[in-house]
Amino acid sequence: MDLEYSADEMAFREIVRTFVRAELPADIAGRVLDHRRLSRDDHVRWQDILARKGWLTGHWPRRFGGLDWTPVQCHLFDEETAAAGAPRLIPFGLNMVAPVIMAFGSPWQQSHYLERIRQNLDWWCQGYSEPGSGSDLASLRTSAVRDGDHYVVSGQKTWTTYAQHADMIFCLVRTAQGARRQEGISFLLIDMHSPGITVRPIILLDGEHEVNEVFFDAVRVPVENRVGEEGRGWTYAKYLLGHERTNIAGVGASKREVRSLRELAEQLRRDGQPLARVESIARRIAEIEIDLMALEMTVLRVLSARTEAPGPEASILKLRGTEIQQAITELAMDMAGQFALPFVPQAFESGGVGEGVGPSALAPLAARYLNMRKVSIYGGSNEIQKNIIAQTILGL
Amino acid sequence: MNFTLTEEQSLLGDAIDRFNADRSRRRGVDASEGRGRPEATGESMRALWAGLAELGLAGLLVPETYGGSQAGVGGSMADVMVMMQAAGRALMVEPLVATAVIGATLLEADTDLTRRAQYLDRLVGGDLLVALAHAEPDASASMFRVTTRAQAQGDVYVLDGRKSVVLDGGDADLLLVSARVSGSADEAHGVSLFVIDASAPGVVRRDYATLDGHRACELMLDAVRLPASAMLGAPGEARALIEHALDRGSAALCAEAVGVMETLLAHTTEYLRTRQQFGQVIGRFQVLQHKAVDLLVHLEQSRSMAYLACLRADAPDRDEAARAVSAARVSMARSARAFAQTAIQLHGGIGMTDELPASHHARRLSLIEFWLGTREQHLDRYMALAARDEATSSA
Ligand SMILES: Cc1cc2nc3c(=O)[nH]c(=O)nc-3n(C[C@H](O)[C@H](O)[C@H](O)COP(=O)(O)OP(=O)(O)OC[C@H]3O[C@@H](n4cnc5c(N)ncnc54)[C@H](O)[C@@H]3O)c2cc1C
Repeated sequence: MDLEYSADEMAFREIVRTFVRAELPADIAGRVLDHRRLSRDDHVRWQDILARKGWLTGHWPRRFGGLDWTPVQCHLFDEETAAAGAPRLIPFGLNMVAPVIMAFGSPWQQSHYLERIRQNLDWWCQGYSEPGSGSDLASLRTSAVRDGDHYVVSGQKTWTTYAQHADMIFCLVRTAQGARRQEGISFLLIDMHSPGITVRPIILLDGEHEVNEVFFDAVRVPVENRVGEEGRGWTYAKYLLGHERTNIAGVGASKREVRSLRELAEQLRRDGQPLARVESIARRIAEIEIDLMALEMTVLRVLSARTEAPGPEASILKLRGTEIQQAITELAMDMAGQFALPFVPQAFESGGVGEGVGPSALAPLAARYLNMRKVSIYGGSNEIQKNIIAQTILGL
Repeated sequence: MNFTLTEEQSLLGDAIDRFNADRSRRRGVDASEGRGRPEATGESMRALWAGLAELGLAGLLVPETYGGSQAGVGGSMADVMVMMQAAGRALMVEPLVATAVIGATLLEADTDLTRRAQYLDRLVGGDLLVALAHAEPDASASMFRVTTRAQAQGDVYVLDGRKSVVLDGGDADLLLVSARVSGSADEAHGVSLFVIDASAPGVVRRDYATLDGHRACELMLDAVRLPASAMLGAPGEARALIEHALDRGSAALCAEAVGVMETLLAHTTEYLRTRQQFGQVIGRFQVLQHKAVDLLVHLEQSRSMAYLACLRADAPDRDEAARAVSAARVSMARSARAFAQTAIQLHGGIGMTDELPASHHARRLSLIEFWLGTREQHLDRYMALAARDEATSSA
């Protein structure tokens, strides 16, 4: 047992740090650190830079063009990039559909789609949820009917993050009305530019457009775009969810945000004193930091022990990770005090804050607090995570 | 002790509910959607306010002699409680707190009797919007720090300074501005209240929307010259009056939060009863039932504290009033936040959307604690008063 990073790991961290310092575009980092809105192009630019270096997929196995990074290396990469203000990597291709294609995809899917993901050529989105099927995903109704070499897909997905940017969507669809609902589900890779697909925006309560409804009207999908066997989609879907939940823990980003809380506490004053000297604030920051330490150690333990896909312990990471993300934005809003109130839409745009009210760093904080209510809902709600833990770990 | 409403008070609440339901029907939105911003509906704030004045809301606290408080209701904070709960239920965004509660309280204290009669008459008729401009941009633990200066120069005062997040300040005709005539920033004495026409030279306002659908402004005062008569009350002795007006405003916000929670609880339980997952309504899941019960507990706690705040805000013992109001604000803040978080969570994804009416209530509940003093300011104030009380009783 050893808590210290090895010399190799320290060297790896240094290499990442040096690279990020040189290559991460300053305008993008500025927006991330100031909590401004990111464009599609911001994400693509950064991911292109990593793709050229091979680091977009450093965590992939070598036989799919990855670098076989160890869990510790992945963790260090995440921490270093997040700390520097790199945008979160859009996970839908890299960390969600890719592991499924690696494990269950056809040789053609592996050479075609994995290669395109590796080179950052496609923006993927996730078509799981439907209006009637959220927590109860297996009740999904979007249907795929076989017609020669194609499936004809009809139905609706919803809450689809960044569908407005996407080139590809991976979808759970119903191919048969089985005895068990889970049995008639298949996993399709669908081109978002196909005729018959319509995307409608959904505006969230902070005014942002990040999710959408996606409508499928007799969309023709080649049979070769089905992953694995027909009717086995549920198995693949669950495999993917384990990956999604580990990813959601977001330790690197939370560490950056705690640092940002500390900076804010130094910068903001109350009665002429920095907020960092106000005991009630200082204690809350410290407590969040301690919670985050516990999470980080747990992530490292889970990742190190991992042989195959993460199991139910991923649910613990999702629970704690999201609770901490929410606590951070809650404290940031409290630090803003009365300046949490103004709604200054320009404040989210890159460039200026327009004429802000109060210190400009405060303008997006309340909106971000509201936005982060989502993390305990998506990726399987926190109630569902607890159900999973109760059933599979505790055997209740 | 008696917690029942008079018949007139019940009728007042019903009348406001009916008014809001009618208005929403005309606008074609649900009564509780809270999409009442004039810019969204194309109506003018003036016209909206005139409608409420007709209902008697603008002058609810104004004595009968000035045309306010008719038909057996009005004149008391219990009436304000009824009004604000109804306002919360429908997420009304009109300047009830700024004009009808805080504005009316301050103008009624005017010792210039002619001016008092004139302004109150207009206020009751819905023809005068008022805003108290008190809080300043530099954060402080105290809600009563004043650095805006009023310099006496012969028989005029010259005001310089800045006021921040002034509730409904952008629409106001009349700004009531706290400014220091003597002493240092935190001293209780030396603060005066000035009545300023919003169009006076040197007054600059920057109006903006707030995340919870209301409006506020930044107010810049640059060498604003005022006659000595613009001072409301005795020179340097406005602190107690401002404190009382703000306490009434805070009590009103506590009551409003109760109304917002009532609607949000109704929406949420309705959703739990109808949304199906896993072949059953989600309200059958015990963990969700318990969360819904938490909502009810928060609502009832908040209701109790709204009573306390509204009924004590006018207590003759000023410290007692202040303690009750700040206690209610702290309690309300905690409940409002937890309530909004849980209500969103119980709705799942749909709870995150602007399209869902309930999310507007959740947004108001998330931000209401930052108006008229933050949770921390009220907690500090409560603790200071409690400590003072302790010291006196042990002396
Ligand atoms: C911002 C955002 C982005 C998203 N992005 C995507 C995306 O890209 N792709 C995608 O497919 N989906 C996405 N989702 C959808 C997300 O996965 C669902 O919202 C989530 O699974 C919950 O489903 P639901 O919204 O239908 O809520 P419901 O399932 O209706 O849940 C409502 C409430 O009931 C609770 N509940 C339900 N069942 C149980 C139970 N058995 N026991 C206890 N409590 C229960 C839930 O926890 C919740 O509190 C996103 C959601 C959000 C908010």
